[in-house]
Amino acid sequence: MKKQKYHLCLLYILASVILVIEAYPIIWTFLTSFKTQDEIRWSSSVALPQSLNFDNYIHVLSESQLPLYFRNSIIVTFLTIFLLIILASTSGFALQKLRFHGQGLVLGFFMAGITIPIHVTLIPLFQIYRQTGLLNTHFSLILPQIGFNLPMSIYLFTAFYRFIPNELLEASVIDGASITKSFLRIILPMSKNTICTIVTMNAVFTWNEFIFANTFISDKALKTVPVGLYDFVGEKGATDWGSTFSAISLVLLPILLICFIFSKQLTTGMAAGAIKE
Amino acid sequence: MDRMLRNKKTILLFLLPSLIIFTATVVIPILWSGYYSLYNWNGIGEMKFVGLDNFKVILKDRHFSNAFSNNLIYLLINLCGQLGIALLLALLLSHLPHGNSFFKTIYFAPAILSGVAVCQAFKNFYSLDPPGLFNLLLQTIGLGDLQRVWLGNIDTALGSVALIECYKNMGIYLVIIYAGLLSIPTSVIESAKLDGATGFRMFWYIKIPYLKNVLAAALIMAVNGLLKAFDIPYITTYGGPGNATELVATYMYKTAFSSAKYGYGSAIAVVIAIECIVFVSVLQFILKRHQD
Repeated sequence: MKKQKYHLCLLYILASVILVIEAYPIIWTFLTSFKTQDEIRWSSSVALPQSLNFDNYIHVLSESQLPLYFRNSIIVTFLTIFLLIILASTSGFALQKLRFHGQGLVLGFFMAGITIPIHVTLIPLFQIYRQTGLLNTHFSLILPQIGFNLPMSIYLFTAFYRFIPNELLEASVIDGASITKSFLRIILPMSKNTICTIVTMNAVFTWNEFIFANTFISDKALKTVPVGLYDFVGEKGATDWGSTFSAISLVLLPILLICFIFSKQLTTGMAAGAIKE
Repeated sequence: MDRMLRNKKTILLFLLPSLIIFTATVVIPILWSGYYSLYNWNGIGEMKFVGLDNFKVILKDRHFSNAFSNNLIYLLINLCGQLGIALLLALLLSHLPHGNSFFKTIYFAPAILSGVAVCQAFKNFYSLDPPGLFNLLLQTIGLGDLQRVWLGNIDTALGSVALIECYKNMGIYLVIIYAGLLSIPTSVIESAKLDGATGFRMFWYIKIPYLKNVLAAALIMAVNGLLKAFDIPYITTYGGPGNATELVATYMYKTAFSSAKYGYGSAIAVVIAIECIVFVSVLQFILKRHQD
């Protein structure tokens, strides 16, 4: 008995050590954001800050473009997710509950999209956007992100719809509602969990999305957070480290909040993604 | 009822918008990519048809073969670092009676952080002047001689960047494998315990067979993702020093957008796509044979 307790204790110590290792970069970033420029340059990188110095934060919030980048990211993320949910829930419904020839083919068509690397579409999309004037607009980011996230989201919806008994739909139709109304009034509210999972996963992906944003947007006023941060770090990273890390901390905060509040949805989504493979 | 389910208007209403956006942003660009790869084009001037020449050039391109071999090394390091550690940690978590969710959430957190944030923190950890975390650690344990500019040294840059990728994405595989572990029926584990199985035997003979599907899925996901790795090498070292951390995706990006060789860049993109399909197909084939 004692031996088991001893073993368990060791395991917990091990798990905690790894916890510290995993969390350290985040903690370090926050700690460093409170240091003054002199502290960063002259004192040890792992030393604690001398005080809770908010100067860097004030500097970043008032003088840099970071608030603007936040605004852009929020716009892009919100629109992407909003449209994605509408499109995925309806298509998933069409593919699972409605009936027509070639349903399997269409589903397979969407699923094949999962295997496609986004890099292959970068160049053509860039050219298409340039010629249609969509380059340097938020839509250039929203559209492909919807496109590439549709397969997974549709899959999650079809998986959920499979469990909804057809009788439920029939009952609503017998009561006189059209299919569309039945979908909106009954099916959609039931899908809350699936919607929540898709929203959290795609919120994270879209918020962190770097490669499209870096390629399609060169206008500073329209940049999203990852690219803006990258620029900021490029300009200030070599000199104004305090600001750099407070900017990063500000970016990390919402993500960490989502991580803790929605951890269940995130992990379910990730696991579902793997099982599909 | 059936009539309503087959109503063409409803079906189109529900399905068409998705189809349009998906085809326009995913399918058509892929086809265009193939089209571009047959031309030489700088984006502004005339497009010059060269047929399969671009692909012939790729075969002889030393930069490409360098990027390709870097990618393979990157892949191997990350498979061990991400999957190996994820498996071990998942096992560890499964033995903790309390607090697994808490530990799991924190282990998972790096996976959803912004790449720029993680890379910047690690850039500081790797620095030599002033010494960052890693060099300080080496000093403290007496291996001060091993200090170096990890990201600036051609021999260590690739591994160092790979480590960042391991740190960031290990959490994803941890969650997946852990879910797999949890789904092993407790009755199996209990009866194995009764038969005296513990530790390594329990792991190898009981748990691994149940994890086969999950591990296979994770492996395919990892290989697929790592062959296309872009964000972290690009953000941390931009492929440098020299081209020590150049991967095929960063090479493609630079060729197209920095050197304005859209045709050649498209050809590289096509090669990347084919390479992914080949690797994953071979992998799936081997794994399926193994499962039977």
